[in-house]
Amino acid sequence: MKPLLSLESYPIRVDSTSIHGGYVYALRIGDDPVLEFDKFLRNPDVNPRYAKDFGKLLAKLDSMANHRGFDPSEFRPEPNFDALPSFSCELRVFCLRWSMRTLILGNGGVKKKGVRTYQEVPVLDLAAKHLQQLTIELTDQIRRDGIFEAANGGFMDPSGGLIEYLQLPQGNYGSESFS
Amino acid sequence: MGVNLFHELLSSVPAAQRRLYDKQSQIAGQITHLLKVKKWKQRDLASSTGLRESYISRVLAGEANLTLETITKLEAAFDTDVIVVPMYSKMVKSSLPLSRADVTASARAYYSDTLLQHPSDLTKWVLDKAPSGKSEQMYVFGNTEESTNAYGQTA
Repeated sequence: MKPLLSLESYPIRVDSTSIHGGYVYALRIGDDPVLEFDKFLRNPDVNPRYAKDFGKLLAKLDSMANHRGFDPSEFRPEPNFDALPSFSCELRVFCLRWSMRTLILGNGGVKKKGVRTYQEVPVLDLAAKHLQQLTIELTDQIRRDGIFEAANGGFMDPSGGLIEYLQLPQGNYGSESFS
Repeated sequence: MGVNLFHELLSSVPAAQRRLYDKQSQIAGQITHLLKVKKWKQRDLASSTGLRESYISRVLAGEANLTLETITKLEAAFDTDVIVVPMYSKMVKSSLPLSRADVTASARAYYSDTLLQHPSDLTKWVLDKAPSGKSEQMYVFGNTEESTNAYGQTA
């Protein structure tokens, strides 16, 4: 059974009314008390071990969310999702770059130089599967419920209200277990 | 709570370092855009600038710590500014003086006493900066009469 996914507002952008930057959501799996992106932030294998790259990644994310928006050049394209950062380092944050104005953050970890693919790293492999599931379910839900994207980022319900929390119905496709 | 954690961790990155990363990203974004406009590949830019393709790749990934010399090579290749110095540009281009007081203050800020002794040079400079269609009478200096134009002639 695939896990229940939900999106929660993760307002890195300081001024929510700003026309610059973009809106950030973080992914939550089932009733896990910790958001996926926070798992990355709290991961001791990531910080302080990779403190410099970690700081650079956070600074770039902050700059995108508050000023520049989510330019494709800042991301590494992966099949059906994206990864941060674009600069060469061993850290990876898996995410869904929905548009220049909307980003959904998942979990991440360390992909060491000798490792060929992320599938060889269990935490990254799992994070990737969640993001791939999210891509399908979110696209589905948006089409079905008339959700649309606000001009300055974030999803809106058909009445024009900003969606800060969105629980996705479990897709009835496939039966692969993620755990 | 999550966002607080993010900002708490971010605050440990020195402000100068954050600015560096931001500038690297902005320059990378701008070069990427200019490449698209010119329909150039990285190798075209490399041959035009004399920089190594691997270095161009680092610039585009927002990793390079560019020198002014490299920036100007890029600017020459694209025939456009890659960076501007905003305060200076603003002083020269945007804060065009519109009153005699502004003209005088601005001119004095830019020109040495020697130049101020040669009002014709200063006149030319101010008139060069004047938007087309603006009356010379708006750019008066060196004479306290409101009705005197830039050439010192009384209207």
